Amino acid sequence: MPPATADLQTTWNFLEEGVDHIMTRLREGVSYSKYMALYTVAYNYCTSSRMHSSAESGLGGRTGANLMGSDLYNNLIRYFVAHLKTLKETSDPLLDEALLRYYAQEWDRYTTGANYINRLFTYLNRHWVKREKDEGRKNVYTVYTLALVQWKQNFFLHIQSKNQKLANAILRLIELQRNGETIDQGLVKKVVDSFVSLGLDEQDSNKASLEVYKEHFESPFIAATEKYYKTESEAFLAENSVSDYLKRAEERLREEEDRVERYLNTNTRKTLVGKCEQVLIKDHSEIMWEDFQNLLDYDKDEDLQRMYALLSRIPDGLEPLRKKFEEHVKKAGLAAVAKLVGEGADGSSSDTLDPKAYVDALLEVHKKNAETVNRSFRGEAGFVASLDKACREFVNRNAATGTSSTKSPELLAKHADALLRKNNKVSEAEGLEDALNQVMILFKYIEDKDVFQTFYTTKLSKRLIHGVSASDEAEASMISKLKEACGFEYTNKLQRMFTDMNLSKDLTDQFKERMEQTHESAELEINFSIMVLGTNFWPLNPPAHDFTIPREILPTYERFQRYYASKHSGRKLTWLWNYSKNELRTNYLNQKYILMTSSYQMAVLVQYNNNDTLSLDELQTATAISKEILSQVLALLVKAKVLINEEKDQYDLNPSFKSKKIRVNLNMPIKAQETKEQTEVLKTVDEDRKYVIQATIVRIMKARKTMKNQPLIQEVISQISQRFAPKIPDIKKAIDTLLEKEYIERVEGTRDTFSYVA
Amino acid sequence: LESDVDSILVDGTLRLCQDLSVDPEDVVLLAVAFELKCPAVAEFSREGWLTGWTNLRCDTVQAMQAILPQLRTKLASDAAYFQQVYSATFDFAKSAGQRSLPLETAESFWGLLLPHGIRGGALAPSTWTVTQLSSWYAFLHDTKVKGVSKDTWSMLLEFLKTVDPQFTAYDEEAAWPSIIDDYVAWAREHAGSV
Repeated sequence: MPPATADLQTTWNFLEEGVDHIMTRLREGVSYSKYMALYTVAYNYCTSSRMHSSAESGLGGRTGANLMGSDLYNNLIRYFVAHLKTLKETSDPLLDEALLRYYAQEWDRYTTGANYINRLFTYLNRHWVKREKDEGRKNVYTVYTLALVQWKQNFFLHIQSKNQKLANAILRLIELQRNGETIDQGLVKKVVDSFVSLGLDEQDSNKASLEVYKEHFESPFIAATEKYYKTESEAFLAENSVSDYLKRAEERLREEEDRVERYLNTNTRKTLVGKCEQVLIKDHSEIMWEDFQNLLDYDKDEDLQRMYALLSRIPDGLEPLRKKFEEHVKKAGLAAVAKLVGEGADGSSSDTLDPKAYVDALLEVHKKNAETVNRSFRGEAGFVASLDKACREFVNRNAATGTSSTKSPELLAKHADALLRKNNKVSEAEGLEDALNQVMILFKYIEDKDVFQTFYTTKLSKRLIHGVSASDEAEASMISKLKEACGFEYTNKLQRMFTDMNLSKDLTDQFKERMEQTHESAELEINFSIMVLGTNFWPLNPPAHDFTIPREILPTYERFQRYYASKHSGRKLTWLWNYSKNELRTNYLNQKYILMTSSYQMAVLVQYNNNDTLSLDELQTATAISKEILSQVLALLVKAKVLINEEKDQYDLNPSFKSKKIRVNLNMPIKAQETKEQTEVLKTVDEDRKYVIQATIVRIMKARKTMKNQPLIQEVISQISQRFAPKIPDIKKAIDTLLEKEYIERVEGTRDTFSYVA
Repeated sequence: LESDVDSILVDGTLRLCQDLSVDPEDVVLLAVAFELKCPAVAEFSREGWLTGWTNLRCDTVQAMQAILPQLRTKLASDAAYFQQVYSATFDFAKSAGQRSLPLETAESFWGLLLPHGIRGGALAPSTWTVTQLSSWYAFLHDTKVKGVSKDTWSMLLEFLKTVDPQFTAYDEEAAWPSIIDDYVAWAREHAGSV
């Protein structure tokens, strides 16, 4: 060991032997004492204060300073250069994997050694190097970094300068792996990692920079990847189906992601995946879009799922699918209804269409495609929107509706009515609830919700007054669903109808109780129940003709009139004979029957308490029912064989009437009433709409004061479309009306601007 | 009644026509009615009469007679003046308390005004001819229109001025009263047969 006062030459000779030992023969080991000796000599040299005037002027050259080190530093550089020269010479003839192995092995040895050397020269690093850097000198590094810089300049760049020999060797291995061969991934990882290590931030050597990695590896790697997959995907598609290609592309993408995990820098992920997505998906998106219909037609769920997953990775990849899906669903819906209509007995009439069959056909198409959306398209919002758009289209316009926008809501309301009636086929509580939820699925798509509302109200009123509702719970459940979908206003009337029903029950009981207190029981032999229904909430019309109240029920009628008048003075009762019904007990036959009748039938039949035969004219005089209705009432009684009509306009009581049942239901609907109901509902809807459009325009104009024609029409449509789809000519007619009524006027000098008249 | 004293009624109107040597169905009388602010057919108010003639600088029957040809020409050729008289005619023609003109009445006043304006150029740049107007009347009868609202009355003039008889300049998105939209649809449908 040279003394502390030894000159540079002596000192370096001693150090160089040690450095070389560590760098080249570390496996033989370095004794602790030798390491300490080396450390001490390096320390001693750096702390010696004598002047090395001549040598110090080489690098640094701040002669006045008392920090020693530049000589050692320069000698280290010379050592590294010489060391790397031998590596260069050995590596020159090597190629591919052999080159990589040699490179990796030497890299290990070199970096391990350099680590020790770095520690050996701790003092140099801490003082001389630090001061140089503090004073802004560039290209001065701590010893380890210096070793890397030298490796890069004298070895790495040398190999790369020969046609990027090193990077190409890695790329060749990766290609082999892509071709399905097994490669030494650890080797690739080691070499690739060295590229990252060589990226030194010139400003801050503690910071890693990916510059070397990117320039020498990543760019050529990405270019090679693009080339590889371009060739492969084109060749694959030329010989295989799109379905197979989807699988292949999916696998390839997964493989490349794995590759990053295994041996690449994570920074490469984004670029690599992006490039693969472009080459494997975007460049073939056309052919995928084209095959989409095929997959839909054959319900290839897995392929659809795969196509969705792939195309969702590129921008705008899904839009064509969404459009095609919408078209597909629409066609399926239209075809389902067309098939149903075609199956009808006469093939054309949608009047005979079974509401349940119609609703089921629509629901089936919805269900199937909703499942596709959820399963194959992960319920993605864009596909949900396509489904909704398509459903809205075929639910409102199809072979059954023709040009009528009211047919679908009518059929749906009729179906709901059938569900909510007693004796429906799905009366299991859970089945019913589910069926009602299904109705709501279609309801959501109905454009003319007001038509549904009107039909529903009419049907509900019938269920309630005839007492044929399946259950109060089911009714309440349906109303709460409608309320949730359309708000309080939509179901207000429906709820009021229930209130009236409940109040009526109480009223009937109270009346009965009161009568029992004030009358002899002999006077009260008629069972009487009443429904008092608010005119504004019930879609019921009083009879259009007179009715003579039979004297048999007149006392009861008068008692109730008085009772009600005393209870609610000022309220007017209108008796809806056309909706009321009766039960008559027979005592003119051997068997006692109970005849269940309408009030008109009752009025006719009680006439036979005093007569056995009556003419049409006599019956009309006695009942005051119009002839038109009366003859239909009589026809039903004759058909049921309660009356006999042997001579024209002459009706006899049948003394030998027989029936298998004790309770005989004679109360069948009269045909004329049925069709009238439908046209009346539609008339009501039309009137309501005119009013709604006008009210909406007034509300908008009141808020905006002036507005142009087009925006006004748009605003009206957007405000009303929740309830129904207003037609532009109807809106214009409403504008005409409001101009005439002077709610609005045209702004002077303009043709298409309106203003609100306060 | 006091008001009778201040008004010239039907007999008076006919006498006035005689004095001015003008046919009671001459279109110029609509311009006179406008100038004299007549509230209704054959009704003149004292104030309107006085200020009207004064503004026209007429204080003798001769002067009144003399000014008629001038008014007739102005009505035929001055678009703004025609518009004023046309607009005033609606209020003048309708019965008190009514919002629209019965079709017959509307048609006879259109029959006086529109041909006069078309021939004299007051409807420029309209390309409608007097004969082409018959299609409008045919439509009104065919679709059994009963009354003509103020808006329809005013917008028809605008329509004739800006939309050609072939409707190439017609925009169904514009704010025409729906009766005019209906007319265009009707006329297109009947294009071959009328």
